Amino acid sequence: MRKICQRWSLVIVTLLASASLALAQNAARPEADKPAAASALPDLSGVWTQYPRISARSGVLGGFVFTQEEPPMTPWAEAKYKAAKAAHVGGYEGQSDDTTLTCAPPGVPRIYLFNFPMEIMQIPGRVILFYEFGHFVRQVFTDGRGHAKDAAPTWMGDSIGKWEADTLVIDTVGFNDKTWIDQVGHPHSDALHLVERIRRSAPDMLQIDITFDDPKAYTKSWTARKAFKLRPDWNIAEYICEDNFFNKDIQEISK
Amino acid sequence: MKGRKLIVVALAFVLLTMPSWAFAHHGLAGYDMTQSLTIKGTVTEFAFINPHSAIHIDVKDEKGNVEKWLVEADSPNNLTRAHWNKNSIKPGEQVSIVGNRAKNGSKVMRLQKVVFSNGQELKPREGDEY
Repeated sequence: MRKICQRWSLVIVTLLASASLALAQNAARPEADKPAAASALPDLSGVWTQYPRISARSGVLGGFVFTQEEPPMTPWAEAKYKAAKAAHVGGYEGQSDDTTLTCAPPGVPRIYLFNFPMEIMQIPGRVILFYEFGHFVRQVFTDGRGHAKDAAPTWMGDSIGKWEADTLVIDTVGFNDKTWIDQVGHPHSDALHLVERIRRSAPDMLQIDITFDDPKAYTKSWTARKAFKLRPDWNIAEYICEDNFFNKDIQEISK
Repeated sequence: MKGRKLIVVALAFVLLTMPSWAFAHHGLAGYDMTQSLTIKGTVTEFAFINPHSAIHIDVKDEKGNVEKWLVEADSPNNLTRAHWNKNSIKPGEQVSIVGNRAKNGSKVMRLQKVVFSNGQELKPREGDEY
């Protein structure tokens, strides 16, 4: 009788132990939709659109530039800017030489100046910026890594980020020199170093302060601020720039 | 003639203070933004695609000859947010198009608004709303 009791108590204890272990594991496992780290960090996620809307109404060049005053260009940059044939500005002979007209990527930071929203998504170790224009994506690594060494230059740059209180600070280098800074042809070199400080200035507003540091193009670093408004009712839609290429009539008017 | 000049000036003032529906990712400099033009005809095609939607329209001139015009509009992404869809303009419909003509004088315009035969208007933006 005693042996049977002992055996059964052993079984019961084992069952209870494994049951409590299972319960403990379930309690520790995070819910599928909630990233474990998310609750500790500011939340910049959502679909954001430029505010005010990109328009010439807010100044001569409006939302086409980062600063209404001329940025402090070096002679090299001045010459490039003068030679640029920006599609919106006119005043030159022949066709615009803006490569985004033939679907070359605008790169960063110019992509902020297109009248299309972006979505910010936060996942463990990364912040993803998903721009509707061209469906371009930036990965900002927030896992503590440094910049890649001797990497090939890219259109969107190599971005790492860290959180400072309520602000995401993105540090980007490694750009190629194939893009303009803005819509009117201000240049940058492959030495461009961009710092973006992104925070919610209000529950439905985002503030991005961008510092441009490029000794080849600008005599000193300069900063610009852009605001974005949250659109909880929007999703990023598909945008394939080359769609027009299949319609030769539209190609004519794209020149 | 004086009255017409006044209309042009008034239109230019209105256009310059309107939301810049016309500032797409390219080609603004190619259009005469100082005055608008209205054409009337039959839609032959509505291409609701990126980066620019396009309305093909047959316009009859005074002699009855058909001119083929092309009207450039915004990305369907933005038009959808202004409540357009792929069926907003149908081939065969009689419409008026108000817009800005290409500077080189070609039969190409940048859309300002569509006016249907029942008087209903279709604009690429909802005023200042996003």
